[in-house]
Amino acid sequence: MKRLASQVIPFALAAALALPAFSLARTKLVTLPDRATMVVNLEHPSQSLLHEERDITLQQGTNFVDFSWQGVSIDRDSIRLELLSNPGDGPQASKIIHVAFPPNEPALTWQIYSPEARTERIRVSYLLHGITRESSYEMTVNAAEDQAIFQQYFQMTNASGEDLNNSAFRIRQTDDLERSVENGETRRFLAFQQRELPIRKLFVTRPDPYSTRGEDGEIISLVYEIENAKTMGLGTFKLDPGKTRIYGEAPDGSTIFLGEDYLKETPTGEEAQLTLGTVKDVVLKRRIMNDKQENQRRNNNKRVVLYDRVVHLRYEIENFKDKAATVRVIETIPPDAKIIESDDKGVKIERKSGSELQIDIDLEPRPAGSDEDVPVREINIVYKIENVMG
Amino acid sequence: MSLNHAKRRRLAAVALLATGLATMGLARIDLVTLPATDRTELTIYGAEDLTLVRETRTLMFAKGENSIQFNWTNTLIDPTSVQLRAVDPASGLTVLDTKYPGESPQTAIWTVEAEKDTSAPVEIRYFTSGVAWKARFNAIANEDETALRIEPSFTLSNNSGRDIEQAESRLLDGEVRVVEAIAMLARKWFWSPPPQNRYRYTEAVDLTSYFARDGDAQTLFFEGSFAYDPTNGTVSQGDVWRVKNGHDKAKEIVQQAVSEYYLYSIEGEEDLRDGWSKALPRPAFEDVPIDVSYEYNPAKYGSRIVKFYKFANDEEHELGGAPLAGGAWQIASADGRGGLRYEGSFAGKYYPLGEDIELELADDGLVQHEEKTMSLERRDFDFNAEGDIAGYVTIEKRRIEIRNSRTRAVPFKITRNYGNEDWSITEASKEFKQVDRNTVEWELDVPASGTATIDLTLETRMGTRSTRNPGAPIPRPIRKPFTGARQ
Repeated sequence: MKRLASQVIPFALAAALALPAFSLARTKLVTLPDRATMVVNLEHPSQSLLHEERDITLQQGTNFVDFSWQGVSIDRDSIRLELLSNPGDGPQASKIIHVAFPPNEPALTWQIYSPEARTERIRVSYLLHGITRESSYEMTVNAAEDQAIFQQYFQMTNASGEDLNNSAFRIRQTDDLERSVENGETRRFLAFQQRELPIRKLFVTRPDPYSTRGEDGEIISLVYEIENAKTMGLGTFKLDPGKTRIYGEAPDGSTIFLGEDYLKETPTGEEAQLTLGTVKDVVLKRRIMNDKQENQRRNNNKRVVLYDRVVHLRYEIENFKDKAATVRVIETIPPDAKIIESDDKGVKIERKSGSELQIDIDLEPRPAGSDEDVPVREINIVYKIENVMG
Repeated sequence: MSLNHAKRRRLAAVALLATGLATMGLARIDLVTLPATDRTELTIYGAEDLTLVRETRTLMFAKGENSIQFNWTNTLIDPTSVQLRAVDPASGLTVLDTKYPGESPQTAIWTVEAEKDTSAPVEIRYFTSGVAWKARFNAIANEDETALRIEPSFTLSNNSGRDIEQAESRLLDGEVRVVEAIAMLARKWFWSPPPQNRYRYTEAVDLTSYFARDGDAQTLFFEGSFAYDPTNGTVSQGDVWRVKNGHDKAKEIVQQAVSEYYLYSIEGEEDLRDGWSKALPRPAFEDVPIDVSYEYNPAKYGSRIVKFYKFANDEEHELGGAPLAGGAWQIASADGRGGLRYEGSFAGKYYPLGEDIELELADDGLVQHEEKTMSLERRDFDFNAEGDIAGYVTIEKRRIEIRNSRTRAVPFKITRNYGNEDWSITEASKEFKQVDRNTVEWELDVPASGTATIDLTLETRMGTRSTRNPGAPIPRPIRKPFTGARQ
């Protein structure tokens, strides 16, 4: 470690203090062994568990091993020592006698008994604060927009105060990443990629349930839908939330930036939608054709105390593209609404929850002839809420 | 004088040296006639900041009245607890009175009447605060999370203002009633120095001459500091180590039941400098079988999913020899690549024999829960004489989905409280347990990399339809206009 003065001093080993050394009343900190291995386990969403292995020289008898740190935040209660070379309770095992904690100082001392002079591989594990991590993604969509190269990047920032040299960074997605990450440094790793991820292109609108845009048409977004499933080459781990940059193949073979979105946390088996820019070549107008009360019941003062409400929504959609398209309308409705009438030709209506109605509408490409009008596709939904209390 | 006694005298000399250092501002306890302590016994209480100290010293008495002065400057001793008594009632000693001099507030002077010139052991007993113990447990699960290795230990800490030397120590686990805190009683008499004034000082002291010339002391005792030079962060050299009774294994700690308490007696004698802590490992429990489960209980844990390792303190789980003391648990699991992954930290309670133990772990983010309303309807209206609604019934269909991103199936427990209204679950796709009138529980397995779903119908009876409180006013639903139309 180069910057001892300002960095952690992970080990100050006072070994070589053995039982026969009766005349010793003073000793020095004699060895500072290098780390044999260092693993930084980052599998937990926020905690970083480090375990480092070192070879220490034990004399026969009682030995003292000092562990101290400065300028880093180590959870002292999490520090644990394992004796790897000679574990157990047998007569040849090395044994931890006790651990001493000095006052007002980030340090501890293990007292270790060894039945003979030998080298012992030890492992010290502890929680180190100050290592942050996040996932981000890149997706490069092919020209047909039905497949993408999907890459997950894992970015960690080491603000722990310690240089993590020659360390193995461990995450669930991939093999250990052998790197050195100095204090203050940020590293970004390619954690996972699937070069042939099937994607689904959608045009999605989420109308405001409290207003309509009338002739202006609803705002339609371009969405790529992916599924975290094994059939898609994913599905072996949860996708962490993260910013996703999406690129597309340009006609000249280069790539262009299409937009970016935050991928939500996506468990295995779940779908996720990535929303890009606004679509202009598909127009959807949403109209409220009716909103009325039926079956009114009044109290003695003629006030309406109970009624049924019937709402008729109409969507008028035009596809100006020369390709077929699917428009998804995500309509927010009252959970007590019942769909009593809907078009079903080329339309898939799914009640995702009481308050979310998903309507997928398949659209034909615009007519090939330039003088032919683009047809207006009309979809009607009627829902009824019974026994509304006035 | 026996060899053992000679050794004690020699070590007592070391204690005197430490007293001499007290002139540097450290705590001190003096007994002016003879400072040597033959035997010190500590009983450290876990539930209170309370330690009972019993020191046995042999004093010389002249026939008639003797004054014995005991001073405890800069310590946390409760003055009201300081007592002196003769160990042997037949020694002819009588404590006539105890004086607390006004000019020297941390001093007691006993007047002891002796029937003859004699040398007799006396016991000085007092309460002090600042000495504490706590239990700690490291728990390491195997890769399959089917078994735990549990490594218990006791950590002693000494912030009493004085060093503990060669004390027989016992730890008491149990609730002890104390009407006034010992620390408060101690501080009534003096002002305690702030912690930064307690600084280790041994690097300047060479104790070589006190150690082990005759070979009866066997190992080195950590006396001093490897403190840092704050100007450059380096470790200091020349630290002091002392030879004392050696051990080739961790000390044995014997557990005994005493009334409603448990007493842990530590083998041999303990040394612990003021300001220091020491962890004493106990034998590990191997291969403790565990069940892993997840739980969603918003009333208890909020919106997060909690993961548990569950087992019991019994023989079936390779435990059961004794209760487990309350203490901090650090939990990790084997990560399948030769290392460990963090699972959580947990403040465990005292677990009696046979008690179920649930180690609450951190949310690993691999299992998620969602509950949503799928439909809602109102029916069975009652109307009062004015024609207003007096009661009705709501039928709500809800769906619970648990998504498991792990590569193995996991048990999942849901505890839901649906409020104080008169509700009942009339249909459920998975069997549930009615815990109380407001709470239900489901326990189910969530398949590996899959989703478990519960569909249920919740019927709620309001107003006159309620069987709990039919006279209560009915709540009126707050309804925002949808679709932009006015209602």
